[in-house]
Parts: sequence; structure tokens; C-alpha cells
Amino acid sequence: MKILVVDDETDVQTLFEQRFRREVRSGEMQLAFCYSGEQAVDYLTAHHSEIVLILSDINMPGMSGFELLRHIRTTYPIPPPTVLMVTAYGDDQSRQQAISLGANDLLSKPLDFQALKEKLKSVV
Amino acid sequence: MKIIATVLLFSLSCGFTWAQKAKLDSLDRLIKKATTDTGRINLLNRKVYVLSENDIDAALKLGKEVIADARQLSYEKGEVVARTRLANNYNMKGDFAAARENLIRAERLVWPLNEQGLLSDVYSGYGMMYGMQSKYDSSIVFFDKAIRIGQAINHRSLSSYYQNIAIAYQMQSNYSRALSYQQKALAIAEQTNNINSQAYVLTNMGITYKVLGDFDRAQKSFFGAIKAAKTVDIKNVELYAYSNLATLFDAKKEYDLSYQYAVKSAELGKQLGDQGIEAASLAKAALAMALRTSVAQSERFARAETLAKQAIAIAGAARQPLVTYQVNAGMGTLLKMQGNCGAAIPYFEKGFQALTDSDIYDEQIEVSYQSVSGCYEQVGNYRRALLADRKATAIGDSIRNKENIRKTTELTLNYEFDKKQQLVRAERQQEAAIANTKQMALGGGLVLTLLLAGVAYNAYRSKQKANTLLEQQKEEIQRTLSELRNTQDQLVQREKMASLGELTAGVAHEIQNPLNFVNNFAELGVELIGELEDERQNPDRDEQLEQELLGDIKQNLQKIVHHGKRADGIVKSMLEHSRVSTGQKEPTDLNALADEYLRLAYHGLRAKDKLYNASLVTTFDSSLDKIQAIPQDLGRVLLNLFNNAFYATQEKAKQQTADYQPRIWVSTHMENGKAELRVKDNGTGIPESIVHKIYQPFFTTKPTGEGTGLGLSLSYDIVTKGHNGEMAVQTEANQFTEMIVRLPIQT
Repeated sequence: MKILVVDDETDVQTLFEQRFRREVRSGEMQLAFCYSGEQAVDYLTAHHSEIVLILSDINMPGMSGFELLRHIRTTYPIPPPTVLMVTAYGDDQSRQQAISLGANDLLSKPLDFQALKEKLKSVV
Repeated sequence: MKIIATVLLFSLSCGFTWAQKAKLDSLDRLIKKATTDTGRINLLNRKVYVLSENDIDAALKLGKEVIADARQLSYEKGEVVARTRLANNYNMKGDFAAARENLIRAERLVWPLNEQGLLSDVYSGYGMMYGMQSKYDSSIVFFDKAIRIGQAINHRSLSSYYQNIAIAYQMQSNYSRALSYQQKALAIAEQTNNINSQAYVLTNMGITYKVLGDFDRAQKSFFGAIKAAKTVDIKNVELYAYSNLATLFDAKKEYDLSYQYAVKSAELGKQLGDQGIEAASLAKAALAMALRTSVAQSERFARAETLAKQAIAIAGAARQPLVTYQVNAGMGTLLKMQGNCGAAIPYFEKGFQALTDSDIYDEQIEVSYQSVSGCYEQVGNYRRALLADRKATAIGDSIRNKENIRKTTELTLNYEFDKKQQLVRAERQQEAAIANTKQMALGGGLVLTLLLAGVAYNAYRSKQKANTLLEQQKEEIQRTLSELRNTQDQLVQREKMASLGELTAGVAHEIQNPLNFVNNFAELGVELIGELEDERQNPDRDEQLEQELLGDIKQNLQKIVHHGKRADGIVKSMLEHSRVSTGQKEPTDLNALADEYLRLAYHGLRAKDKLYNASLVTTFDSSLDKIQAIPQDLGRVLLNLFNNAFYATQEKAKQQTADYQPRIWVSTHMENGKAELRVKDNGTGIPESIVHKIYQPFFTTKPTGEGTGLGLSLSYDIVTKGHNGEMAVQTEANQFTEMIVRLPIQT
């Protein structure tokens, strides 16, 4: 399972690598990282068939998570990858907007990695 | 001024007259022969009345004796008369408290007596007392009471009541009322064939007409006054009428007549031993002479100069500042007329010098300063020309200012005819009348005409009143100013707090991210150490894995330190923002500062409006040098620019369809040795009609209570004054706004 994590905070990469070190080590999971929406669009264009799940932050400079989501949902062939949005503002309005744009779920910060792991298992 | 006031009030109370000296002698004889006590007291009261025309102190002394006598005899009527007259004398002395006390006692005594004539005299006394103090409203109330009684019983003093109330109305600029009472007074004087009273009333009427600009009637009245004054041989009224006629004809540009009356006035002044009025009249005659077309031009100025020189010589003996000024300014004007500016200047200056310690400013003096300014200009002394011109303007302003204040304080200006027109006319001409009467008033002493003194005194009083008002207004303005300053300080403080409030939400969010990392990496550290311990207990230890784990632990600890410091920095910058600026400039990384505040502003807004989402495009020039700046102050500017940009896009998002995508561009680069920062948004833009107002304090387009209107104003001050930089704006309504800040690298 290849997962793309999109966040402008670069340390998110280290964090995910450590949190999922066992899954990565066992080859159960592969992680890719992009630091902006634009970078993610490029990455997906090159690797779209590989990615099964996208985990994207919403608040990013430049292209926001929502824009990325809209882009994915309007340009990708079936079946689209699962997209989970991550935000610091986990209120109902953001949730509704995320869902209406085609997100599979909205997670709020700070991420609960235990819950995330279970979610990943159930989603995939 | 008190002496003049004394004379004035006496004239007010004087309804009839007799030859004073002869009367005193015959009164003394009658008093000696008096057969009854009450008869003697009545005669003594008459003596008090006559005395008060010449010797107030003697009148006061005798008045008190009469009161004592009358009380001893329980002769109430005599006491009432004595007290009323005593009050009038106190009024003339300016001792209004004593006057009032005597009037109150007289009023108490008179009630049971049912003597209407005495009561009306008491009321008239009150009227004068208030009139003397420039309290014209009260004065009119009492004269009205006196007049009602006087009319009912056909009192012999009715004419004087009319004259008095007319003066009160005149002082309130209610000239039509004044005139109607003067006409009534004149009618009585004519009926009773009281020539003396006619002379006074006609002179007063002349002044009223003159003030009203009715020169023909004014002229007729003065002529009538002169005729009457000659009949009963009252020279002072005659003198006063001549002097007024000279001014009147000057105003009518009839210089031959003006000259004639000025000469008559000078001659009579000389005859009466009044050097002040003589000198002033000669100066007037000199100026009229210079303008007489009937005299050959070659002669005119020579004769005028002779007169002016005479005037100056006599003024020297008179030693009155205003007269000294008048004669010297007259000579100056004459010389200027002949184009001899160099010679004119010293005269003008001497004239002004005479006024140095006085508090006299009128239009005449304003005109003189204008004249001397012209002279200085002609001789090429532009500095002095400017100074004199400024002085003229200042005097003009002061006159018109006082005029305005007086206008607003004067009550009941209900004119019977065209209000507006008359007001304008009256204002202009009252000024001239006051100037004229002031000039005459300096004749002073007993020789000075009584009516003139009255007007001069009242002009003085109203000027004092105006000065007091000015003083009060000044105090009020100063108080308001300091209140405004306080309010301004409070508003600036509020603006700071408001931007701090906007920051708080952003700060909270910004701290949350590093804090999450700290927590996560710390947790992971514990996990990793657990793994390491497990591995060490494994009999078949994997050295490479242990090494990896140790490396991760080290990395995590570094991450914890890094994010801890990051949170620390955010808290510090918030504290810096709220702290009063030290004003200390230090090398500042504009890129870092802009980035930091952009995030803070964005998250601050996001915390309030969760749906809001903007793309932020930053293009920072990494080669930008550090600039010398006060970081807290510059941060405030940045925060303000960002907040405005967000607000503009937020507002537009509310109006537009879902297609609209808010965008903010922030860029820095070097431009002509200056660091340039641009903040652009694709928001509502600024309409052309208000773009020039955006730096004005308190200007805001936000709904009431939402914006202080100080954000950009403070920013502008910080950039331009604090950092010697520039601020500019480019905008198109409904399209974009771009704010540009340019800062020197070294300020």
C-alpha cells in the first residue's frame, strides 16, 4: 500500500516514517511525501497508478488541500484514490466542504496515530 | 474709564436741566430759609441732584447726611428720594453693591407709600445699575417697569427713561428699538419745550442713524442738536455734534464739509481747553483737506501738512496715546498720498509706538498697518512690509472675531425690518462708530461730552465682555484639545490591542504545530528507547538496528529542541508585538518577518472564519540585505497590510460565486538600493473616490465598531516617519489592491 502524505511541514515526513516504521520495515506500507499541493499534483501525474491513499493537509501556502482535492476528484480516472484530509480546524463547516469536494474523511490535528492506523486498515 | 462711566450715568439720569451754578447758589439760599424740616430735606435732595453733575463725592457725602436726617424725622419719602439719588451716585462711582443696597432699601420703603413716581425712579435706578454693568437685558426689564408707571402717571422723568432704555437697546445692536424710544423721548422733550433734553436726544439719534447708515437723517439730527445746544449754550454737545459731522461727511466723501466741521470741532475744542479733541480734529481736517478737489492740488498738501503738524504739536501736550497715534498716522497717510513713503514710515511707526501699552485695536489701526506695509514694500523693505501686513491681518481677525463673539452673545436681536441686511450693515458701521467714539472719548474729563463718554464706556465694557468670552473660549478649546489627545492615545492603544487580538488566534495555531511535533517526537523517543532496551536483551543483538534506533532517538531529541525553540520564538514575537516599542533599530530580516506575520495573520483570520481559505504566494528575494528597522513596529505594519489584504478578499468572497479564489501575493526585492515589499490581493480593491483617504486617521470602510481606522495611519507613520521609507498603493476597484512599502537598508 502506497500512501502519499502532503504537508508543508517537512518534519511530518520524519514523524510518519517513525510512526509507521514497523509497517514500512515489514513492507506492508510505502510512504511518499510532498510539501505542497503543486508538488503533489506533479507527483500524482507521474505516479498516479501507485498511490492508493492520499493524506493531505488543508492549510498550505499556494495550492490548498481543498484545491488539491478538487483537482484529484476532477482529473483522476476511476477508481480514484482514497483521500483523507487533515486540518487543525476540524469543525463541521470544514468537514462538509471536504466531503462535498469528495474527501473520504476529515481528520483533525493533532493526529492520533493509533486511530489513523486503524482507519487506514479499514479504508484499504 | 471709571470717571467717564460716572459722567455717562449722570447723563442717563438727567431728564431736565437748569443752570447749575446759579441753581446751587439759589438752592443754598432756599435751604437756609426753609421753614419745615421736610421742606428742607426736599431742597437738600435737589442739591444732591445738582451736585452729582459736578462733584460726585460731595453728592455722596450730602446724600448720606440727608438719609440720616430723613430717618430721624421718619420722613420716608425724603429717604426714598435720597437713597435713589445716592444709588445713582454710587453707580457713577462704579460701586454697584452699595447702589444695589440703597435701591433695595428704597424699594422696601416706597411700597407702603403708594408713590408711583418714586417707585418708577427706583426702577430706573435699577435699570441704570444693570446698564452700567453691561447687563442690558436686566436693564431693559427695569426701564420697562419704570416706563409703564411713567406713562400711567405722565412722570416728568419719562423722557429720561426713554433715553436710557434706548441706550440699552443700542448697546444690544437693536437700533430700531433704540430709535423708536429716542423718538418718544424727543417727542416729550419737544412737548415740554425742553431744549436741553432735545439737544442730547438729537445727538444720540444722530449716532443711531449714522450706525444704521442713514447719513441724511444722521446729518439732520446733528444739525438739530447743534441748534438746540446753541440755544441753551451747552458747548460739549455742540462739539460732539461737529466732530460726528466731520466723520459723517468723510464717510460720504464730502471732503469740503468734512474739513469745515473738523475745523469747527478743533476750534471749539480749543475754546473748551480740550487739547486731545483739538488735535484729533486737526488731524481729521488735514486728511479732509488733502482730499478736497475744490482746492488747487498744489495747495492741498501744503495746507494739509501744516494742519497735521499743528495737530502733532498739540497732541504732544495732550499726551493721550490714541490722539498721538491719530495725528502721526494722519501725517503718515498724507505723506504716503504724495508718494513720499520714506518720510511716511517714521510717522506711522511713532503712531504705533504710542499704542504699544494700550489695548486699542480698531479698523482704523488695521488700515494704518496696511498703509505702512505698502510703504515698506515701496522702499524695498519686504521683511517689514510682511510684518506690518501680518499685524494688519491679525488686528482685522481680532476685530472680526470679537465682533462674532459679541454678535452671538447679544440677546434678542429682533429687528423690525430686514433682519439680515441690517445685521450686516450694523456690524460694519458699529465698528466705525466705536472707532469714532473711542477717538473722541479721549478728550476725557468734564469737558468731554456726556453722551460720547457713554458710548465709549459701553464700547469698553462690551470689549471687556468680548475679551472674557475669548478667554473662556480659549480655555474651552484647550480643554477639548487635551481631551482629544487622551482619546487619541486611547485609540492608538486600542488599535494595538485589536491587532494583538487578531494575532492571538494565529499564535495559538502556530504554537500548536511545533507543540504537536514536540509531543510526537517525545512519545516516539520513549517508544524507540523501549525497542532499544528490548534489542539489548535479545541474545542475538542486531548492532545495526541498535545503531539505527540510537540515530532516530538522537534525531528526535534534535527535533524536539528545534520545535521547542520554534514555539519559543512565536511566543517571543507575540510579546514583542504587545510590548511598547523600544524604538531601537536593529538589523532585521524582512523576509523572515514578513513570513512570520503572514502566517500569524492568516491563522488569526482562519480562527474567526473557518470557511475562509486563501492561496498565499510568497516570492522572497533571498539576496535581500538585512535592513535597519524596529522589528515590533515593522511587524505591526506587516500585520496590518496582511489583515487588510485578507479582509478585502474575504469581503469579495462574500459577494462572489464559488469560483472566486482569494489570493495574496507577498514579495520582496531590492529596488534602487531599497528593500521593497509588495502585498497584493485580488479582493474588493479601493474605489478611486476614497483612495486618497486611506492613510487618514480614523478613516475606515469597515462597519462601525469593527475597525479603528488607525491601522494604515499608524503604518504610514511607522514607515515614513519611523523608518524614513515610502508607502504607495496601486488599486483597481473590484480587481486588486497592491500595497508597496519601500525601506532604506540603512535608515
